Amino acid sequence: MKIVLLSGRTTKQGVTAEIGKTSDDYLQNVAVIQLNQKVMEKLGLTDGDAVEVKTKYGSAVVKCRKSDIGENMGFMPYGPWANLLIGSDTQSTGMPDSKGVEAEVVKTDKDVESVDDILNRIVEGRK
Amino acid sequence: MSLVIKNGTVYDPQNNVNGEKMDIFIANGKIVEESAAKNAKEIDASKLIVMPGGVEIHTHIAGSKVNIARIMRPEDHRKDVVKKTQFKRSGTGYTVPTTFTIGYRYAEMGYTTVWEAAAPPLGARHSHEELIDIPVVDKGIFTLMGSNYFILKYTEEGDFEKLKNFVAWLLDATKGYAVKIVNPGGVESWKWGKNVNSLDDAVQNFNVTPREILKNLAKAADELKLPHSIHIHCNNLGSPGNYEITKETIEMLNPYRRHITHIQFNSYGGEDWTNFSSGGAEIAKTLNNNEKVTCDVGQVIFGDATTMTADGPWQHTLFKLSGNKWANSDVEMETGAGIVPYKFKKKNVVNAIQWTIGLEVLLLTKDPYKVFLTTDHPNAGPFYFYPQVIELLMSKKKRDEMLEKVHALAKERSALESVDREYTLSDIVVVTRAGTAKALGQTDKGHLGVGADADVSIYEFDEETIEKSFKKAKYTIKDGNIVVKDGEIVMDYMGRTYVLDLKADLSEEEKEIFSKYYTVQFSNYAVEDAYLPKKEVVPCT
Amino acid sequence: MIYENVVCPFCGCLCDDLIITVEDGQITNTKNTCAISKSKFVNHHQYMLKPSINKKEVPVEKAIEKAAEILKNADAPLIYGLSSTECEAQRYAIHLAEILGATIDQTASVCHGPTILGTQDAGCVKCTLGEVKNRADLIVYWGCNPAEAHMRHFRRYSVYPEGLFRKDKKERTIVVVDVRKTASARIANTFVKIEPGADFEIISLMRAYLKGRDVPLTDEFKTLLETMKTCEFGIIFFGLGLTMSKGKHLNVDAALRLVRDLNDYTKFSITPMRGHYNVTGAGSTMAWVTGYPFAVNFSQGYPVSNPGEFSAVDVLARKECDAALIIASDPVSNFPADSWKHLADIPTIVMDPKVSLTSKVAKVCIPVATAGIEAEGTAYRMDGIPLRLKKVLDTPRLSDAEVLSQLIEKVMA
Repeated sequence: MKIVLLSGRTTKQGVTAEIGKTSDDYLQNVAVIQLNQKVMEKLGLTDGDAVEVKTKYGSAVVKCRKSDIGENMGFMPYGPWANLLIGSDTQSTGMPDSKGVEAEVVKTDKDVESVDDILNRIVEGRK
Repeated sequence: MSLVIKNGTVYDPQNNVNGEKMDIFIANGKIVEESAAKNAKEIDASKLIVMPGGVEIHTHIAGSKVNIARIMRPEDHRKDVVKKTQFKRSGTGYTVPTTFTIGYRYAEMGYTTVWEAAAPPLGARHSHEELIDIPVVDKGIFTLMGSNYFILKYTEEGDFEKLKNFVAWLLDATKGYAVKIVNPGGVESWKWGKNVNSLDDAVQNFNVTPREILKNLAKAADELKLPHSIHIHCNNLGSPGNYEITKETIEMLNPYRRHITHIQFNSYGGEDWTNFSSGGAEIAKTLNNNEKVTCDVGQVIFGDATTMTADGPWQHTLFKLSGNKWANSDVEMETGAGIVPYKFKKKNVVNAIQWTIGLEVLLLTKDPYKVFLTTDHPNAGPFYFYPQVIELLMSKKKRDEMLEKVHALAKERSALESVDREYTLSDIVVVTRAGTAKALGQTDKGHLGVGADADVSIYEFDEETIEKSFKKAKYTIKDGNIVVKDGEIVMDYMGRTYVLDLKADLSEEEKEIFSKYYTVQFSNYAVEDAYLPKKEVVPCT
Repeated sequence: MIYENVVCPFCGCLCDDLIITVEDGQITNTKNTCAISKSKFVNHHQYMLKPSINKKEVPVEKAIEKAAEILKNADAPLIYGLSSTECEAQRYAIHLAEILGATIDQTASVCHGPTILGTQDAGCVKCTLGEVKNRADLIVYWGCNPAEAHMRHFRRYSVYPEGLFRKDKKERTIVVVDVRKTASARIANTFVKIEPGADFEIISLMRAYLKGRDVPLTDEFKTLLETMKTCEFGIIFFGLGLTMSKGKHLNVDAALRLVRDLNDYTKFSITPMRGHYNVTGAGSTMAWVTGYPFAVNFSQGYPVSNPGEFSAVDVLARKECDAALIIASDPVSNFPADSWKHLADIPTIVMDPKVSLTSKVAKVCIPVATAGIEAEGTAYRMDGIPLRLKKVLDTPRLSDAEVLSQLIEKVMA
């Protein structure tokens, strides 16, 4: 399912970031994507199922949450999972394309990655 | 550490020294008698002129609107870069220089005291924080009050005692030195997109006129015995024909002390842009005929400028006239600001006439203790072009040369060509040091008598190249330290911030109003001592 | 001990009416805090960073020594972050960058950097938040979601408070313009939906329509424009919906110009919703010391600024720095993933109160006091107003300012 990916602040992302980014609270509240309820039904998803979000820059496995966002959009809170999906071309502005990237969402059996999992994957060779 | 400046030609008009060869003795940061300067290090000033360090009475160098201008004008900085040295932090210059560069350039030009002319009270902390990063010079701020809610309220209610108490409280809370008034009442009206155009227009939503605001503040400043008079940016700045409101402002404030700032911008004749002319001669006459009034001129320098004032409506007008980018920043309950980049062009008829006016006022005002040299930096031009103005004041020839280069109508619409007077070096000292220090009530500055601060500037003077002579000091001495040698900073030094010895409290009712309509807590408002690492308290006597 | 009038060190609202209760060296209660602020105060001691070199815990002095050695030996160091610490620390960081000939950038480059670029083109017509509280009868939130990002904004500054001329929400019209119906849209009188990436086009059409051109502006936006034209005092608050979407600084430029144009009809202002509590301060201190608010490089011995060249995301993506000092920020969490590798490959130093993702890949970790809780200093609110952060807790940890001051000394030795 193709969507336009948005990222932004949420209260829960803010609250849990202030606890600590390696906390489970943070993982539970930030490794998520808000999708339109109908889109979730089409993909055979229930609230909290794992999905893989892919863009031309990378992929992230997160939990889906139903919302009334438009059917052609998905929203992820700011954080490392959203940033797996965004490229560093800033068109010389300094600002990456943090909102509006085209993404594909599929149901997945993979587990949601923790921050350590992500760091291992992206930052090869780190113990 | 003692110093002796030997054999210089000294100009100290406040002490009636006008080009005498004499020695100046310094010890413990002060000018002293010879006997008190033991084992003094010598500076050979035998081919040099010696004068008190420059005292800048009006400039925009530190605080909210200055920094907005820096942020919005990267193009201004790229062409004037300042490399770091052993003693200097790096920076950028041109019309809105960075803080370190400002301190260095004033000092390199021979200035030792500099006054930030307009601090919004809610942003006073910002002004002081930037001043910490302006090295070498002594400094301080003037606090904006002319459209402050409480001032308007008490003027409307006719409660002078409360107004006076508030003025004292606000100066103490902001650690400000003087009452600054910009387009009195107009800045409040601008918060609804309006303005005032005469001394008797009503301010929007208040039953109050600029005349009443000015009189109240003038009376308060005198009764509080503030060292400097009220410092006024008049209504109708920039408008053709505005010399009349300036004249009226000066006259109606008798017998109170008053200082009119960048008076050039308020000395226009004519009715519109097509018959725009100089009202400089009229203004000089008014200055000559009135006592307890001083002014600084805001002389135009052809080239780039950045206009920045608290006069929001004027700045909007300039935006509409010029089409340049425009920033505005209204401050709750207090004041506002506007910024528009501008360029003064020789062949622009209005700019050319404006250029004649500052010089006219400087030359036609008889008492040099009434009129001071500024460019209202950076509104009419950068401060480091003062030497250009000094040359024009001292040389009729140079003025005539320039009159040939500017738009031809400048000659017709101004009296400048007919003025033969040439400033002496003593006159220059008055309009850049002795007079400004006196108007500011800084009795230890602007002169070289025993007991004065050892702030001295020494130049290599050549009457054939006057501008070059004053561009860079041979030596600048600050509190007895050689901070500049051969036009370059040679020492890392921090000057003092002057604040007033005033104590006042606000009533519970005033604190209530504060809590309701401000968006900061009353107890977080006043500027903390942390922002005044080298504070010097001045009594109000 | 109850501390009143505490200044919040979280978002650009910089609320200064917080009441913090401290008992036995712990924060046990907070009042007037939003959920995120409360979390920051109450959880500030959780996941605290320990001083380390190569992941081994060391005394903090050793970590600082190592950091100084790394910076001294680097040819092209990057200093980044700044927005979540106080101004004295920022000023030291800039000085350090000058000494090192480094690149220095702050978090605005991935937040309201495009706003700065827009302002450099068009200027900015703004006002302090109290002006909004006192006078605004029309408040438009464009591409921002204060309900989740600036949680006390409505209550303190815009929608609900009693102002001099507006008593309450009934005397104000609230409009939310966004690509999705956010939590903020729930309190609005009108929600206007805009397609992602359409801001520049729509705002430009509004400008043209305002000037009397016959352009295909939809009715919804024609109505919005009419509301803006006819209000007494209007304000647009905007956020990352404009700066991060296609067009970026051009979106902001258009909005700034629309507001300029509206001033021909009525009193109208625009203010960016700055994210971190002292990102405005980071831009301010950089501007007054260097002339530029972000993306600055000192390798020539004087400041040069060029977003895209010296902005941190670009420098890291192109692998142009050979060492990094990350202060009060977490680029491994907040930057696109392909810039994380370089931070792990070069010697990276992190100064932070807490464990961050960047600290997990850093060579040197230096724990610092939390500014606004354990250290004083200045912070600048989203509208430019400066307030002094308070210290409500003692800590043996050094402040950012103290660490940076030591780094300067050691690097110059």
